[in-house]
Amino acid sequence: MALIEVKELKTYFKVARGTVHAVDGVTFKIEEGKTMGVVGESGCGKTTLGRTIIHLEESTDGQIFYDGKDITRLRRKELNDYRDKLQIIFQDPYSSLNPRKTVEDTIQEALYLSKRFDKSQLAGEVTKLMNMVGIDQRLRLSYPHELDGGRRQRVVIARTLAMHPKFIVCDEPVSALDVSIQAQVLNLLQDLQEELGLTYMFITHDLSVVRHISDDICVMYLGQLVETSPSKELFKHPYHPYTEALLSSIPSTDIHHKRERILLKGEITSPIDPEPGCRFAARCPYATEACKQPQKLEEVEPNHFVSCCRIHEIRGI
Amino acid sequence: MEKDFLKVEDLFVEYTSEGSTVHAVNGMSVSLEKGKTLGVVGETGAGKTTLAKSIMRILPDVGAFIRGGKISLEGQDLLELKEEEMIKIRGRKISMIFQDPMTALNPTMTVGKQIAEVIEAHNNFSKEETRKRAESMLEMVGIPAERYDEYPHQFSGGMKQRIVIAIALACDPELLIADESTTALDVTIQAQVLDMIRGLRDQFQTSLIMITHDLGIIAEMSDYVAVTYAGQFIEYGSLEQIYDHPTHPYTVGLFGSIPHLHEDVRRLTPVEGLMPDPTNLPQGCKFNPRCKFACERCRQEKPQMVDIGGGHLCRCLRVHELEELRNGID
Amino acid sequence: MANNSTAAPKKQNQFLVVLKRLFKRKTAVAGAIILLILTLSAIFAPLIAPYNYTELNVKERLQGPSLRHLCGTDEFGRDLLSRLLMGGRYSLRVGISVVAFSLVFGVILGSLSGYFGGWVDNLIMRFLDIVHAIPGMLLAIMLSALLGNGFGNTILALSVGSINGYARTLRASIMRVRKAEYIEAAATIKASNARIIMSHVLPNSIAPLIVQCTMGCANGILSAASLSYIGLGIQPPEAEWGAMLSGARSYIRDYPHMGIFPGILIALVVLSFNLIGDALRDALDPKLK
Repeated sequence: MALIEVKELKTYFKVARGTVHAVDGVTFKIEEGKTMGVVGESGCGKTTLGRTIIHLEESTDGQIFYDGKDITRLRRKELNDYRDKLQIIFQDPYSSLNPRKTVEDTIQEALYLSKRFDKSQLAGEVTKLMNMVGIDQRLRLSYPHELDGGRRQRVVIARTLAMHPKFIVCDEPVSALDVSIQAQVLNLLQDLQEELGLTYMFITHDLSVVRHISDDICVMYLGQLVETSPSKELFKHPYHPYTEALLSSIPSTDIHHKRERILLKGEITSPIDPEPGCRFAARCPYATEACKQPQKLEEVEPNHFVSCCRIHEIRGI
Repeated sequence: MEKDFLKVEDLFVEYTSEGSTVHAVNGMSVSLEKGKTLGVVGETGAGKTTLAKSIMRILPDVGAFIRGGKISLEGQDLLELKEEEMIKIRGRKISMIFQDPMTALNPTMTVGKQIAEVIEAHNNFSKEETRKRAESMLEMVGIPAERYDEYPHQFSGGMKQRIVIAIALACDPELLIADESTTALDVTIQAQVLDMIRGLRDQFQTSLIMITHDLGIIAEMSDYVAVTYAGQFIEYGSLEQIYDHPTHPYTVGLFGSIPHLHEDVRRLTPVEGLMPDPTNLPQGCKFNPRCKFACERCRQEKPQMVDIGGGHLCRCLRVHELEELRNGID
Repeated sequence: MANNSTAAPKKQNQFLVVLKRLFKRKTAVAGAIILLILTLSAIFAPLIAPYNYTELNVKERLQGPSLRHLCGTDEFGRDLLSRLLMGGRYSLRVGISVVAFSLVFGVILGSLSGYFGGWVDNLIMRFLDIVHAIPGMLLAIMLSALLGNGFGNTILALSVGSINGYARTLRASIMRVRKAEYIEAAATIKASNARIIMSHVLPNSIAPLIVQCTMGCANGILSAASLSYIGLGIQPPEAEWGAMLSGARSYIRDYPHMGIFPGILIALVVLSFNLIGDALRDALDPKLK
């Protein structure tokens, strides 16, 4: 059974000029112990989607299931029962740590609040967690500003693990870090997943990272899920015109195989009170009148879903 | 002359603050031909931006010192020039695109005016001519000329960055420095902007210095690549030399850090450890504390750039043993 | 993964750490010494005052400083030094109590308002708007007249007007801090609202208040004087610095010593609080070691 499942999930925000359709009818499943990558450009709703699943935002419509149980609407007390299991790692390790708390204080607070240990056990558990995420013990009393970005992100990960989570939303956890540090943290996340059987939702705009770390990938555009498929399949057969353009835009380090690049015209349109129908139509080279109708997610290959009414014509499948 | 359009020789730059000295650039040398692109790749604190600012001569007046070296453009030593003479060169001959389009534009001035300002500063055009030229710059970067009188906040991030590029290119500079100029943009927009820069470079034979941490962008844009570490170039060569035969252990680690789009690796193989503290750089080879091949000699002796064939330079004392060492480990 | 991990450093008592860092600063030491002297002299005033501070001596009125009267005498011939010493007991207490009282309420209202936002914020802010609309002095006079004289009532009357300033400063500071991800992170580890406010929000947003407090103390002393000037608050012949300063106004041209001495003392109080406050703000910030 899938650990996390969302059905037709919608998260809308009221703003002065109307309603932002940040997440607009997203459906997918994440199997236990697997990683779901969510990619898309800024403003596509990927972060809101992650935050909605772990109840940092309130969903407007649709359903969220955890381990088969509907957790869409929870009372405060019920929510507390799920808080431990559903955790998040934020993007910016510079702002996600309290500048006035030492490494030890930060991790210990989470351990204490998780209520899994006696007071006397806390110090020892902090040591264990620090070793697990690879922070040297001599940094125990350091403040965040004394640490570099990679180490801070390790502290954040340790704080998250202190809650003994099952499912972690990783919201661009490495995009603020340097390349070599980025790789160190990615390796750590993969090791932890293996060791602890964690399930990840990995949100990023970096497509090479998402391919590396994910088992399945969701591609989002302006709040809508345009394509979802196993990771390798998606990179081999990007069916949706947006996915195709997105993948072709990644600067590649392969200098001998120049790929044909699909340059999109125009900019991302506004997610405020959008028209029904495919949001990508305005930039899509294949758009027709039919694209103005609401689109349905269709399984074109096993486990490979695409939301495009012209997919069969375009790809000949 | 052609070969040495831009020549940086043995540049040293330091910052001082509160008694400690940051050794930002420690002996960088590189030259660039006209119409070619140099990719400068490295991580935060490697000295990439300081190099760019030194060439533009826009290092902060207080606290930054060029300790030594020469930067010459067409044989003219830029570091010897008076500020008034440098003003004429900036924008006209050398231009720079900054990292953050949100802060590079003046929010209270229309975008057209901001482009026109640069043109006015370097030319003696009439008002109409200036406007016409500024409008044509806007169109060149793919923004309709009708938007001349709009303010920066009316544009999206990608368009703002294109306006910044239009300003940088307004006087047909001969050398363009792009410092992480697409880092803040989304991939599809980044692709548009890179495509545009490439087109303009080929059209005007502009020399380009592309500063980024993204090996993919370097691969798509550059003719030559310089890998930077702790204020030094540690490997330099043509694009093919660096990407087909990365040699320096740091360069190899950098390539090992990025997941590939078409290859499957279960684990990444990055360089362990952290960038050294620029106020307290290690003795000997600056990379030695993170290098798995470091020996006693590496901790004592400062390595020089060694030509390992056809202009492919590498700053490593054990460069000729590296292959053996690697085989030994694997 | 944890290679060559060295032993963890010993944890020290946080309070002692801050205290040690505080007294590493010369300015803080200077401020503390001034404050200590003023406090001690106020406590032991009855013992060290050379004269009875209420004793009239018309023959020796309006004398400048001399060996007999080190600070001179006032218009009734009362010894100024004795009055200053005794007045310190009252003025220091007023200054500190007014700050303490308005700070407690300001912090509570400001935290609630800044942290919860929405209707809580609206309610508190509109209430403070109403209070703020009445000029501070007028409000103090009104309350003082309503509540009657007495130390506690005077403090209350003077404090209500300044709660607004503290609450607003803190609210603005909190609204900035609240957006930080570590506040949200605290919520995801199940920290209660009270805990989030006390251990995450306040420590990071209190700094602007410290400076305001040091100024508030002087304001308290001076406002207390204004109250007693119009017959509310403390009554003559009780001594009080603010009242002595304002009473000296009519004699400022010919007998400046009457104003200079209380003025210097008030300034010293403000200065010492300011020095300590500044140093405290820095000592609490882990970034400035």
